[in-house]
Amino acid sequence: MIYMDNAATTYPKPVMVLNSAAKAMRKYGGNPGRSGHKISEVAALEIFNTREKVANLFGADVENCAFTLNCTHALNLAIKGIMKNGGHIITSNLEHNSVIRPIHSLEKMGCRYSIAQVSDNEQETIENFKKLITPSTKAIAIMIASNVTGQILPYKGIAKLCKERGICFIADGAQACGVIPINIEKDGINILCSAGHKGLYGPMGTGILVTDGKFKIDTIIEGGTGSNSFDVLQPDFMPDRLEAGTPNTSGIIALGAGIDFIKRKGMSNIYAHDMILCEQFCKRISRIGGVIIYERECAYKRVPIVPFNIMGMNSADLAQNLNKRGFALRGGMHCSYLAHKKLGTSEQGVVRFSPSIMNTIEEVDLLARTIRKIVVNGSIK
Amino acid sequence: MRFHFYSETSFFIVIKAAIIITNAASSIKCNMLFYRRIIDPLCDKKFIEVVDKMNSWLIILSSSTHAIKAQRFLARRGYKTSIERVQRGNLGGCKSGLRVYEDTANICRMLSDIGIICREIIEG
Repeated sequence: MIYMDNAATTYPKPVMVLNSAAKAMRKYGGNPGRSGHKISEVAALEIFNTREKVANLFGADVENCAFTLNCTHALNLAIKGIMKNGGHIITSNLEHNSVIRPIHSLEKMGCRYSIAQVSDNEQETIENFKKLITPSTKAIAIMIASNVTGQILPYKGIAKLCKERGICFIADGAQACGVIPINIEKDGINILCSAGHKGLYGPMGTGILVTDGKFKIDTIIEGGTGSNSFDVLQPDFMPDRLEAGTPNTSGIIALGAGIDFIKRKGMSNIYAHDMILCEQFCKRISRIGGVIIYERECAYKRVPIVPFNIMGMNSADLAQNLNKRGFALRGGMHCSYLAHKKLGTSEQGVVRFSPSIMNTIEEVDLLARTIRKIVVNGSIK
Repeated sequence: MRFHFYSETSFFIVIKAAIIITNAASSIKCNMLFYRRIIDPLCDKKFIEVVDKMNSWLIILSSSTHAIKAQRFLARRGYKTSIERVQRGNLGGCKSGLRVYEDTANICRMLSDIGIICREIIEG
């Protein structure tokens, strides 16, 4: 099976990540930060090491990096934590359900939201956001890169806009972290949320919330932290404030190994490799009649994702057909109905090609030949 | 036979005296920092810890993350520290403590500059 669904989760994981997870399960079995014995202390130290790696990667203070279960968890903490007392929030028309659903659910608590249109022109997109800002706007929450088209949104421009207006800027970095360099201080991001299991090559069940500490995040989950035990209130300091309950120790330690892997390979080298594969894939399948590649002519910057279809075929059926022929790609809606509405693929969906450093040019050629066969046969069976 | 008995008794007395003198010397040595750390590594470890604690302060910090951050920060500046778990009701429950052996006020100032607040300082 050739796996090319890395925008969902990267696979296979680097050997160092696998070894790190196994070592953590064997050696770091104590509950970190809870007990005074050595086994607990060592686990806490190992978690701190990963926290430090996250902090260095995104230019944050180490205590301002909280571990979560995934990106959705981090986004819920951020969005609901900032909007807890009401107000207005703006998002984009490309968002994943991990942003749009928490925002929509806030309506019940008296919050209002607006959706800004993203265009190919960065300045135009920023203007669209600017027009929607009202005196009650408390936050703008957007993805850095689309999980459907790969488009990189003008997040730095939107962050600047937020800074000028004193608005909290929440960035969903699920498709961008580990793929393009992000520095919360330099980029003006107030809260960055990401999965640990995508571009950071960590295991599933890991996510991060990185904040610059300028906006206080109210809690939506409270519980044990191993600190201030006599207080019925959740601690007011990071990261304990957002880390209620026992963490995924082995997952977090393995995430640290994933970050080491990226650093060893070089983020720009990984990006260049993945983009070459995308270019090769587009070049090969664009010669096949009946294949549609979406937004390929658009000049915007992108992450390594190619959405495509075969005319007249449902994307889920095409993905299933490829699955039978030994290729793992994702068809359907990718939890992003807004993006599909924009693309005009609400009915058909798209098949998403998303390579990783583990894929090769030969695999891409083989996939392109397989797609040609499907088209030539004129049948998806 | 009598002679043998006396020499055997003397022998045990001499051995016992030697043990007492060695223990006393060792105890004296253990009290001296130089011997304790360099010359005599065989000193009772627990005894050393007790003496260390007598000449140290426990800085109470918010969490284990803060304690580890503080420890690494201070290690880069040449300070020896150790992390301890503190569970006392009068401190509001579980906390993490950083044991330091010198310069407490300056250490707290430096930690404050990197956003770590010394919640309390306990002597010994």
